[in-house]
Amino acid sequence: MQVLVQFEYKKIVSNVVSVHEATYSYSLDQKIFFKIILGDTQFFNKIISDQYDLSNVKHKILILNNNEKINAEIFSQISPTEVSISSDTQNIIENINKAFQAEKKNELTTQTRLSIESKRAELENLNEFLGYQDKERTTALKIFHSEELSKKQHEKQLLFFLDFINSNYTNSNFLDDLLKFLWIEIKKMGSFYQMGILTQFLGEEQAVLFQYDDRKYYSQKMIYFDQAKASDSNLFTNFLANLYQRPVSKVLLWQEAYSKVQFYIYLETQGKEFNSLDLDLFISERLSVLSLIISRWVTEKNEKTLLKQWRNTFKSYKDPIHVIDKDFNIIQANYENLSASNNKCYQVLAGRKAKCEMCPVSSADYENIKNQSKVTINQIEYKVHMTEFFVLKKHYLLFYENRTEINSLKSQIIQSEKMSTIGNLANHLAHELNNPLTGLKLNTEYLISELQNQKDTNQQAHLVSDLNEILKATIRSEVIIKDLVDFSDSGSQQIQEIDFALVLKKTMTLLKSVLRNNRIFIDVKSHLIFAQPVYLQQVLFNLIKNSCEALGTQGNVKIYEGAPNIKYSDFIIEDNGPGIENQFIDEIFKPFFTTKKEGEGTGLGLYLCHSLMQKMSGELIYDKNFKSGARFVLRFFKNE
Amino acid sequence: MNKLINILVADDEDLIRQAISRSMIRRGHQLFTAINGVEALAILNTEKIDLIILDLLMPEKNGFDVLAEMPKFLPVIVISAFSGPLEVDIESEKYPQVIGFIKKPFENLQNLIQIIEEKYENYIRKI
Repeated sequence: MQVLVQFEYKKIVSNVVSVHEATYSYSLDQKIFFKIILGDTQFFNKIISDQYDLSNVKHKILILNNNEKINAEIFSQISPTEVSISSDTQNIIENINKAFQAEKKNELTTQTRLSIESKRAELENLNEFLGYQDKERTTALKIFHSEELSKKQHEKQLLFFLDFINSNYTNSNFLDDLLKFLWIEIKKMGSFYQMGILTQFLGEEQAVLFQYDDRKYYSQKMIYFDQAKASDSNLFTNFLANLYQRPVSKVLLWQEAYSKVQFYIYLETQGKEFNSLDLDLFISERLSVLSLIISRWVTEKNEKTLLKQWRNTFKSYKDPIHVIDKDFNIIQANYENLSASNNKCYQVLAGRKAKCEMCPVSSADYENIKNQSKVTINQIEYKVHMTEFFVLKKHYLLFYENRTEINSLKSQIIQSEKMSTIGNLANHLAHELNNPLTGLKLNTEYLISELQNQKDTNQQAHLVSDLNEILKATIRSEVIIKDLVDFSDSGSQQIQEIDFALVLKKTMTLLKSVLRNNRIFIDVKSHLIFAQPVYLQQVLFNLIKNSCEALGTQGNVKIYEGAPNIKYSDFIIEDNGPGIENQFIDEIFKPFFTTKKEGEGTGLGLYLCHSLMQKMSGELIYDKNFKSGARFVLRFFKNE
Repeated sequence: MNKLINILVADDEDLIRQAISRSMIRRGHQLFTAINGVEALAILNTEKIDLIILDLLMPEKNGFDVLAEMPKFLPVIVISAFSGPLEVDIESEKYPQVIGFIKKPFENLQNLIQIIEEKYENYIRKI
């Protein structure tokens, strides 16, 4: 602390100053910043005249001489903080002490303030640091918290997924729902064209493919798949492009394999961003469960289908078939097995009280009777085939072959065989008959001309008319033979342009015996079509014959041209008989279908017509809408 | 036909043989008949024949046998129900004596006689 003291007062002050450890000067130094100045009026005047700034001096102690009067101007210039009388030393000391104390106090205050300020700054720093640390910790906590949360979310999702599988597995549309569920979850992580799941069982060429995409289009199909194609994502993409027949964008593939199943999930991306980490995690977590559940589902479904197939196969065998145990109890059968108590095969099927004669089951010499074990049930003779198998106990699979039916089938085949030999026979017959017929005709002609030369008119007229009758008969016989030969002639197989009316006319001569009871109306003008004459004749023959046979004694057959059409010519053969029952309509063109009694029809007629029309690139149509009889349409397509 | 000739009709079918021969006789020709190839060849050996009307399918010896064994200068008209490739065979150089082929059955008697005479006249004109 700097103190300026008027030299005259040094003695008074020195004691005090030393006590206060202050440095003091006796002359003014402009550079020094004095806190206390002590002096008389003259001293202060000098300081003022030296232009020292008094305003910063805290304590100005003005010492007045005894009785000194000071004018107000100087007083205000000095503006002393304390005034003492020079004689009153005590007061001077008191004042200076006071100044020192005040200044000291002031200094102390400043120091304290400074220290407080620095302390505060320190504290502020500390506070800032602490605040930062706190913030970091909060962030860390927040991160930790959100991680925990997502983990929980994750677990929740996974649990939900497992729960979903658990609760929905028995639903019939489980796989649909599962794929939908997966798809929705996956779509949350990015956008994709489609999702696919491929399951392949070991050693199988075929794999089951499930697809699901945004159109909610779900499909399942069997495809051929080579595992090598999944070894590389490019190969797999190529494979998919081949499969869908379109370009495929980037494909993400996951696979899982265990003992017998190879399992793949793929996603076709849309090239946009997606959260690959989340996605990977999501799929990886579910991959094994999915592969297990889907392959199980596929296996079960296959098994169901197989079982169904087996049951249907079993049931569809038209003759009896059953599985029995060694005591003849029926285990499974394709016929109705109503009473539970009465469960022996010989009772239910054959209506016997003991096992059938020649039954191969439990027969000691089965090997010997194997080929002749015939059983008669309800007057039908069956051949029995037996196989043994062992599931917990011995079972027998027996199936019965209807011999009666086979015999009738054989006769049908013989019949059709006959039909083809009729052709050869007709040729032979025609040649054999032609000779005597020619002779007959020639002789009749000779006799007629001979008679005409004679003059005896009365007798002559009679004889000539009789002979003319004979001649007509021979000519008619010749025509029949000629048509028969044409009919069976297998020579010209070529489809050619022929007149339908002409072929029809030729066919009608062969049908006279059949037509006897029925009237037939023909309204067909000369009409060229493309056909094979013999085939067409056979078709017409069969159809008209069928109609006539269905009509009985009363009824008529109409043959006429259908409505003109640019593309084809229709000819209609229609009768007013009973027609064909609805239940048989789909059957009529199948071979061996007949409603006639055994031995009357071969069941080949309509089948033959149908196939002959097809051979001629035409169609044979049964008009279902025609209710007052049967109506067949022969359709011949015109050549372009 | 102005010229009256000797004709041999060989056919196993009685009625045909009769009808042809009767009609020919009425036309003024001299007729010989045979019911098979053996008879036909025998007649050819003993009689002077101008024209042979020959059926192909006959017992004992058939028409082909007759064609093979008979003298090749005698004209033959073949009548048969056979047709097709055979027709060509018969009119070929293998049997130069065949001057015509008439397919059975005949349309009518008048027509048949006319054809036979025409074929013979054509043959005579050629030689």
